[in-house]
Amino acid sequence: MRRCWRASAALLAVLAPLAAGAQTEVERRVPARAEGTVEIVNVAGSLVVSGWDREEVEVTGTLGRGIDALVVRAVRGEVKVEAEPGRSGHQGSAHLEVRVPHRSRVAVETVSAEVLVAGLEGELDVESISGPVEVEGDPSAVAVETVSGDVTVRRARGRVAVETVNGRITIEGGRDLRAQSVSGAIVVDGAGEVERAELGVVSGRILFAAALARGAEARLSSHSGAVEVALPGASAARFDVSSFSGRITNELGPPAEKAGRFTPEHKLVFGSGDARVHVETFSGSVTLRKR
Amino acid sequence: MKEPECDDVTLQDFVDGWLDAAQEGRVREHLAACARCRAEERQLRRLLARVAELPRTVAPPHDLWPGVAARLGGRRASPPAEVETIERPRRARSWNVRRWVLQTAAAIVFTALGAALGRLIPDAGETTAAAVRPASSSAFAAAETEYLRAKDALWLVAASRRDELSPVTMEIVRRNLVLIDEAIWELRQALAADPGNPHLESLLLAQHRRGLDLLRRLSARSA
Repeated sequence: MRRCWRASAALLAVLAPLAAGAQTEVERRVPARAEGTVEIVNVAGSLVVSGWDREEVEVTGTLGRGIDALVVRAVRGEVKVEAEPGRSGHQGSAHLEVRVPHRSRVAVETVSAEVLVAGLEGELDVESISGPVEVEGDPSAVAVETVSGDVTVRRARGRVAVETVNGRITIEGGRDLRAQSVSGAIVVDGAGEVERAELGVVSGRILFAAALARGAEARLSSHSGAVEVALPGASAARFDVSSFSGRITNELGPPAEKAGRFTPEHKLVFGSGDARVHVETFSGSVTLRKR
Repeated sequence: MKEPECDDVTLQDFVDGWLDAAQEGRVREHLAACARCRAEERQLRRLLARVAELPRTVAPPHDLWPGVAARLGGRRASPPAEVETIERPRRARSWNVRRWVLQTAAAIVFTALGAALGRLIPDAGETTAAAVRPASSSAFAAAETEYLRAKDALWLVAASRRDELSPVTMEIVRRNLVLIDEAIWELRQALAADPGNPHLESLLLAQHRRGLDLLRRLSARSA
């Protein structure tokens, strides 16, 4: 049994018990698979995750008051890193820098820690409550959920999905975008071409300023927040814009054709109209302009 | 405007025990005179009881650690050379288990809702209004009823862990749920003036969906 277990699981675990109130420097390194999963839990403090070329996970940083242990364990190349809070009742914090194989799939779980992720090519999944989350680089997919933390995703190359309650969402890059917030703003200011976007708010504002790929589809929805669409001058797109009581302003040129039976609805076509842009609000204003 | 004495949010707070004595007294007076709210209160308490019946200790099936730890536990005297055993703080473990249980409760609610709405709406996973447009006005009414039931259930799941959530987080969530409720109220007012308007109906369902998403996330998180 023991041999079987040792053959099936390569486990390395490190426990760093801490004297109460002390700041403890930590440095751990464990083997990892090139495309394995790295799960990181750090309730408060800060967390920097970066990709590197080694098949190892390295954790360095400082554990503060209220953190009893840093646990780093690897099972079959899958790694879990956890700064464990103690029994004192204090919410402890840790400041960690974690280096992972750059093609790893990384899952981060935190409450209020500031999270910065850079240099990853695998999938990234972040769950937070109030800490800001910043992602730079080109993960194949990014998913972030938070309540009040601001989320910034830069230079993404694939799918980006972000949900907040009142945190601001800023996305630069990415081809398949999904962002939802209640009162937080959503700003998409992409350098590349967007193939699909679905953005929704209740009272937050939406700014969609990105080029659309051929055949792209963008759906922007708001209740009372303003929606602004800024497209490059040569965009070929068909717009379906409707608002129950919000003002619709078209700075793109051709007059809108009012087509709605029930609510004010405007249809606009530019060029071949290959891409589709749907905008709908209840009372939020809608502005279409050149980028 | 909604009748203040028939306020669903206040009723939920009453059932959750969040109100002060004066507020509780006013709600009790109202309940004595309002059959609708008494029925609503009974339904809320039934849902709360169902939540309370959920299992309290369930091992996360995806986590290999419990099995490994159990094996290690029998060998603490002589662990393998390359392994150091870990005595995990009880508080951290219970945090994870409770969270998993509540995620399960939220998942049960969402699964039931998905099954119900799947029959009514082409794609209940979407939140833009066009994507949640029901097939007909009768389907709209049925869909809205399902949303309201699910929202109540999820709120109870979320409220059951209010002690775990920071007051700041709870206040943010509360304020944003109010924003969603205000949006729903405005849409209902508009629908009352223009019954059957499919654009407004779809916007209304989209707001319900947002409220559910928010409660789902709250139910699955702790702070």
